[in-house]
Amino acid sequence: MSWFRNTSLSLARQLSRSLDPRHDYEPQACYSSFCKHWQQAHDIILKSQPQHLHDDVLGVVNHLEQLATLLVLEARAREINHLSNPAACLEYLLSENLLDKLYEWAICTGKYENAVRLEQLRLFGSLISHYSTQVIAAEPFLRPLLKLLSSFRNQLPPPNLESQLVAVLNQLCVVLMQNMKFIDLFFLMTHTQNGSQAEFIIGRLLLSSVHREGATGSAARDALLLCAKMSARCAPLAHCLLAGNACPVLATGLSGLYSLLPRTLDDSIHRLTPDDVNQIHKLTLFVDSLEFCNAVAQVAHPSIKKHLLDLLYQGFLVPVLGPALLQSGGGEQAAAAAYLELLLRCGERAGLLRAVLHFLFTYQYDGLKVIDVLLARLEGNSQLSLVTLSLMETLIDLNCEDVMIELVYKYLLNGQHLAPSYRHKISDPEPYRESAMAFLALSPKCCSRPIEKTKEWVDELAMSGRRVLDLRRDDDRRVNGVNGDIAMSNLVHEVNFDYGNPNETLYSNYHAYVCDARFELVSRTIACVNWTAKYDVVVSKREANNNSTKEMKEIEPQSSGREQDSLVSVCTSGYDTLKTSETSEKEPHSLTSLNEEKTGESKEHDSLNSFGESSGYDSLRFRNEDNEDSDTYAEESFWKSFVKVPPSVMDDEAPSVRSWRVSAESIIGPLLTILLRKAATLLESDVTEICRVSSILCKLASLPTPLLSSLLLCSTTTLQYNIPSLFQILSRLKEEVDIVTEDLENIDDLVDKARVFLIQREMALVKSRVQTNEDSRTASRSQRTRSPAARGEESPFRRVESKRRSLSTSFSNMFNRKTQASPPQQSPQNVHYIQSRVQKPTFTQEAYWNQSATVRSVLNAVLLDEWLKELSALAHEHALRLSADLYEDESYVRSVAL
Amino acid sequence: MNEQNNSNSKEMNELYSVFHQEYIIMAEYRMLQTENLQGIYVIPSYENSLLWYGVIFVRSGIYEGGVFRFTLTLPEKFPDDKVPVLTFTSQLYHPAVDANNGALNLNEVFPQWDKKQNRIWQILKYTHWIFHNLNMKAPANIEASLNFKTNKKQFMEKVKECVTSSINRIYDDPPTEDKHYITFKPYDPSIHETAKNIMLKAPTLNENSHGFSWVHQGSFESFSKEEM
Repeated sequence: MSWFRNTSLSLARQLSRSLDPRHDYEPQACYSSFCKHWQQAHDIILKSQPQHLHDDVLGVVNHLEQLATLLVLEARAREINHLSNPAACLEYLLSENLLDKLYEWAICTGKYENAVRLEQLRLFGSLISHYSTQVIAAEPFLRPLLKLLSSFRNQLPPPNLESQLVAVLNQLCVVLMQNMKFIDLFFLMTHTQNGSQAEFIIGRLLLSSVHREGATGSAARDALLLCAKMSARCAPLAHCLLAGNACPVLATGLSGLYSLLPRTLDDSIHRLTPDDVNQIHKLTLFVDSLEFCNAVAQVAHPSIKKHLLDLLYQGFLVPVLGPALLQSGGGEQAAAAAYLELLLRCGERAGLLRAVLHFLFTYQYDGLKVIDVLLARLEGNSQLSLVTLSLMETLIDLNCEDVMIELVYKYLLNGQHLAPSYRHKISDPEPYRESAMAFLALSPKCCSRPIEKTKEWVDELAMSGRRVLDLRRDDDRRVNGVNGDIAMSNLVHEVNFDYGNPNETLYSNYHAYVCDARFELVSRTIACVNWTAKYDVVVSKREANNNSTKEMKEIEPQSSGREQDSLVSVCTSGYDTLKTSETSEKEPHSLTSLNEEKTGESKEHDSLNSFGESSGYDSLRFRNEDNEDSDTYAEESFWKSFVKVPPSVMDDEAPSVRSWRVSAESIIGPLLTILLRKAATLLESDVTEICRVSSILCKLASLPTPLLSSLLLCSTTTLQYNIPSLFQILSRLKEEVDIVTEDLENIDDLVDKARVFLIQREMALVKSRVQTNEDSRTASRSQRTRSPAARGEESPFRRVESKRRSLSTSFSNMFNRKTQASPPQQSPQNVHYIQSRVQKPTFTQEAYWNQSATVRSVLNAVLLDEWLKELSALAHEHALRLSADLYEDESYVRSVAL
Repeated sequence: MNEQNNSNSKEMNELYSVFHQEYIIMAEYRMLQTENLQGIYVIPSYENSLLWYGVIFVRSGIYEGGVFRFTLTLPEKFPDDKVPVLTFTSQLYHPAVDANNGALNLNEVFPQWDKKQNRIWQILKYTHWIFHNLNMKAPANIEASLNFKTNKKQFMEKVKECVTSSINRIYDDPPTEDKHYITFKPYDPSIHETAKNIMLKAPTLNENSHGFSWVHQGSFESFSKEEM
């Protein structure tokens, strides 16, 4: 069909675009030219003979091009002149029944039929895009269009025709979306052995193209998504789409694409980044399809959503994804877990997420739940373990109550892990405040080396020609306005940090940890607002079993009587004693005391609840009775106005009989057990793993649920003796490190090296991250232009590249991200530094730290020192949050979030 | 070397104690926010979190209409040290307030500061309390106390005087540069209307950032609620 790319044709097309309706449009000339072209084309059609079909087709196509050009010109002129000109050409086209004549001739053009059909599609395309509502219901337009569309029903068009067809269908969907009343026009009756039924021709044709790669596929998906959207408002359409097998096509497509994914991944991948997805073509296709299913499930009619989710469950999750996770071979398991992690990040709450989570946490293969299999893989330090850790992190980041119940709360709800006397103290702020200081006191001895000393040491190295820390490019040499050499000038002693400067390390910056802890805690608090419980009290077993939540519910009605200020009564009572006052107004007074009587009861009730279990001072509450004796002294009556609330007596359950036998795992659950066990071996672990483990533990600790945070953060909370608290584990580690490093002569040297190594790692990651952020931004932009599915929604990787610009200071964030695919920028200084690295193993390489267990423990001790600061900051924030009884009050979140 | 390390760790500890103290003060502030103390507004100074600026609007009683400024000064080692000092900076004629320096006598009510029992909001509540309970056991202003008990007419006159003076001095220039000093401006709709409307509007949290749950209320069982 090379003749088809005739220059004159494309010239005509270009012409139509370049013609300026303001100068080149002359209505009468345009109209007569239009008529003339059609008459000539019509003449050819009438006289068309099989012998000179080639020339006939060429001629007609040529005229059609001109017709389209003139139509577009007229349409654009009308747009400019606000539709004042008559649409003469269009009316002529419709009155002549031009499109129908064309269609009838086209089916006789034999081997040129597709060429003519392509031209017809183009003509329809221009008509729809320029005259959408005027033509769509017009018989001379609609009938040939439907005939043409129907002709594709049972026959797959060649690629160029398919892309044009999809483009027209897409345009149709856009028009229908705006005018849904026309949708009935596209239901065609089809007759099969089973009788006749309506078929939505647009949907039917789109389905065969949705799994195409590239522009055609994504245009088809966009269009089908519009159909899904319309189905929500049009039950017959939903019915047609269901009958037309839309759901199985989508679900099997997803399964098909999944099965094409690489069976194993590169060893270095612990979590798939946008770069990874873009680099692995099959993965891109899978993610596209996944997002599409997700979007359809979100917008479609409930019946479609249900059917689609059922099919995905039965046709993808159970038979494909599950077995992939359970197959043998560490590499394969790791890849499957990484894909699952990606799936969780792409899924939306209103879309696939529930189905996937439900599958993970309830579906059993041979009596084993999928999640239990995955949890068991956390052990060890293989790629599989790291990928599974990432998976857990993603699950936690969903802030989904169901997930957290399964992973954590269901084990902790009864408080079996707590010594009985501590079961009612988990929401007391004091222990958090104490442990904030206690964590800091666990800093290993060797880490008390002043950071200034490390800076001096770096300066000396720099003098001798080795700039180990100079990663800056020339343009950002200015650090805080000072031409400092090393990005360590900001030490914790200074208060004015420039957090916007990527060259400034956050190492050892307690203030930054505090800011980060606040951010974490507040954002989690906001996220957990939708949960059904606060997990701030121990629920006795009986209650949990009875599904009754006395304690939990009692928290709720707080606000009822709360408006009333307890001071009101105080005012009025004091006021009574001063009856002489002339400024008095009786009305408001009696009103308030009336209110007082009404709310007195709920108030009392309230104070009992909220203060039942906290530290001493809380038991003093303001009393509301106003029977003050006017003879008493103000100082004395003041305290009398407080009422002593008896400490709430809750029946302490006798410690579970089981607890002395059972393992920690059955008390606090496998996830916490494994994470704590990993924390206990922190000194021997690899940096990546430490960062991951500590990051997950901190994420768990930043959930606003005292049930969990008390376990992780409180140093004084006594747990059942076979469960170590995080604090106990870390104090043991401190002792170990202190013993190991006690007699080490070069300990200061090693600490300096460890610090510099970590700062360097941080800087490299910040740099690569800045770049990756940019990459992902452009990637998501291109994705958006391709599919409106993504428009409005967040980019698919929103949970990877979190949008926070403020601070990412948690030390796990600082040092994590080994998995970023983008290499650090190769600035001249960097090259120098990399070259020097090649020569011999220096301390700036991971290998250096593997040379002996002692050296590794020094590095890890320095990491531990940082982690302690992070934990301390979190404990401080929890104490702050818990120190006022209405801590969930939105004003807290807002005041703090600012 | 060891000495250096020790001095460093001492320095670090000092730093951490500053954070610790700041957090305790923040918690105190949080607690008083939820106590809903009517007519009392306080804010820690921008420069120094141990100094708080405050103002009380007396809404009823013989001091009704009075707008009295005060400062609250926490001791250096708060909460381990002495009782915070509350000083009225507006002229206040009151049996419990020292006429010379404006200090509110807290000795009787807070003989010492027990960090387990005592909270700053209690001082503020007491500050509110004295405007309605004037019968002082240990008056700081003996003359006022006597007048209150024996010569109510004169007492009332002096009270009126200080109420009027307090109102007249509302818009006075701030005595300090501190950014957190509480200042007042006459109501100007073009400036204040928008802020007022924002305050009156119910806050809405960003829906997008919410987590989610399919747990049936009170069941503590995952996926116990059908979707939607």
